[in-house]
Amino acid sequence: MELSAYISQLLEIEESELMVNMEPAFILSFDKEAQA
Amino acid sequence: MIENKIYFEDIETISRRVRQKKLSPVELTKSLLKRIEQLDPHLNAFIQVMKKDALQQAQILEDEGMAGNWRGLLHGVPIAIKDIFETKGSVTTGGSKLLADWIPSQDATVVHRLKEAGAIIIGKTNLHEFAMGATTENPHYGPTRNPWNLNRIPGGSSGGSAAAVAAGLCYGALGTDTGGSIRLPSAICGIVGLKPTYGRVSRYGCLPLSWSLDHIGPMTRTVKDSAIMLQVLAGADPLDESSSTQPVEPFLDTRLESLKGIRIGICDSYFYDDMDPEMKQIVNHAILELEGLGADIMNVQLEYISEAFTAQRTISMAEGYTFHAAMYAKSPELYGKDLHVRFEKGKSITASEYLHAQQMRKKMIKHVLEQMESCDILVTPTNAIPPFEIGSITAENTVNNIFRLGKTPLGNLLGFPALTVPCGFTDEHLPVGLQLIGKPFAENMLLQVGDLYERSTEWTKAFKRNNILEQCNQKV
Repeated sequence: MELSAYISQLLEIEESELMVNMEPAFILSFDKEAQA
Repeated sequence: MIENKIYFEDIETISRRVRQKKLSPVELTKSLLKRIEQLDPHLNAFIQVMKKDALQQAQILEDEGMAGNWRGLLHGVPIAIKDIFETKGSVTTGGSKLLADWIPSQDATVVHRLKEAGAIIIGKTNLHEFAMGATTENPHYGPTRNPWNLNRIPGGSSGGSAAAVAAGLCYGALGTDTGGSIRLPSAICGIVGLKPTYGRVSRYGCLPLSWSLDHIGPMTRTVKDSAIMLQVLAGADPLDESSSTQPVEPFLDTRLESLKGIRIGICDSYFYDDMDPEMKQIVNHAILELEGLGADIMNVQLEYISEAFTAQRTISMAEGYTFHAAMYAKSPELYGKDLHVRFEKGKSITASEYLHAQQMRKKMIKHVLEQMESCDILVTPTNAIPPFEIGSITAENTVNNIFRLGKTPLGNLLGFPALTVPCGFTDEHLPVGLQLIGKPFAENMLLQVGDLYERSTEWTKAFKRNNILEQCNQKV
């Protein structure tokens, strides 16, 4: 089962709200520097 | 019949014996399961021992081996994984009460890669709840105990993985590291731990603590074993947008015989502040040994450390809270006391404080890269003070413990690779770790230097002096 679906069922929270909260945000990348 | 010393062999040796059909993966797994049954009631390194799955997998791998099919260096090797990685069909708790019954429908990318490479997943290890702390005193599954002294913490948050490797309950383990959660417990338990460059290893299917700071890596008894595991774990993953597309080189395919030409930077300030004097002496001796192996030692000055750590706490607490916000608001009683402290702080961080912290992070990365122009790697202590007695730390201190116990958090803010290798023992027979920090994607250099240092010292052989069995017998 997806984590958001499990939590939604367990705690009765809208799954769509959980999915937004769980989406990774603000990510660092060294790829551009490493290729330069 | 499996002889006792086999529990502390390295992956290379086990792998060779399996390939030569001198060692049966099934017999080896049975033997380890028995050892876990005997020792883990005292250590509490595992949340779940995957007896049935492990034996099934061992049989498949044994049959493949007998048919002449060999998957690689992890074929038939029992590996433990922190219970923060999704495992298809098996409960993944994250060390929490909240997820006590969650059964994921997929494997995390790293779990999938290990299985494909022939590793036998022997169990899922204990951790600080949701990896949010450095002691592995888990309020729901009990504390993990340090194999070198059962009254002490093993460090955290990957404390179960470190204890399992150090006690000979598996041949390697997976950990996660957001402020030092691979390196700190590895150092405290006397093993090798590698936090690769940010993005080097896919995080898909791993419960996050802080997206900007989370890393995944191996925990093993030798540097070569960490190289073997990283080879399998590293590489781009379309399922993780933060995973790097940098090519993965063969790790440790050449082994150094000297450190001639390698420039090692030492930073006096911060890394030695508030450090236990005996542990400091041990680290200084290790640096002299590196010099004796031919390395050029030079001083490097790092500034803005205090501002950097303020930024790090801000990022970690804000991101950690964001992931849990809805769940914590609805059912705070499902979380441990120290997570309440952390979430209440995370909740009050403003958007501008968070963004300023990310700006500070960029500034620090640029500064350290500039300072490292004159050297190849930085060498520092890993653990700075002896591990706490279990039960001696209050919930309010949880956020700061990682900063007190070790010198690891900077590596996460920078995202640079960092390796810890054992470098000695205190008079109380507690392990001390030496940390090597490299530039982005320079894992191989860390592994090469760490490997030569390890081969020139006796610390890896110290597991034979680990009196875990005697300690457990005294407790019976």
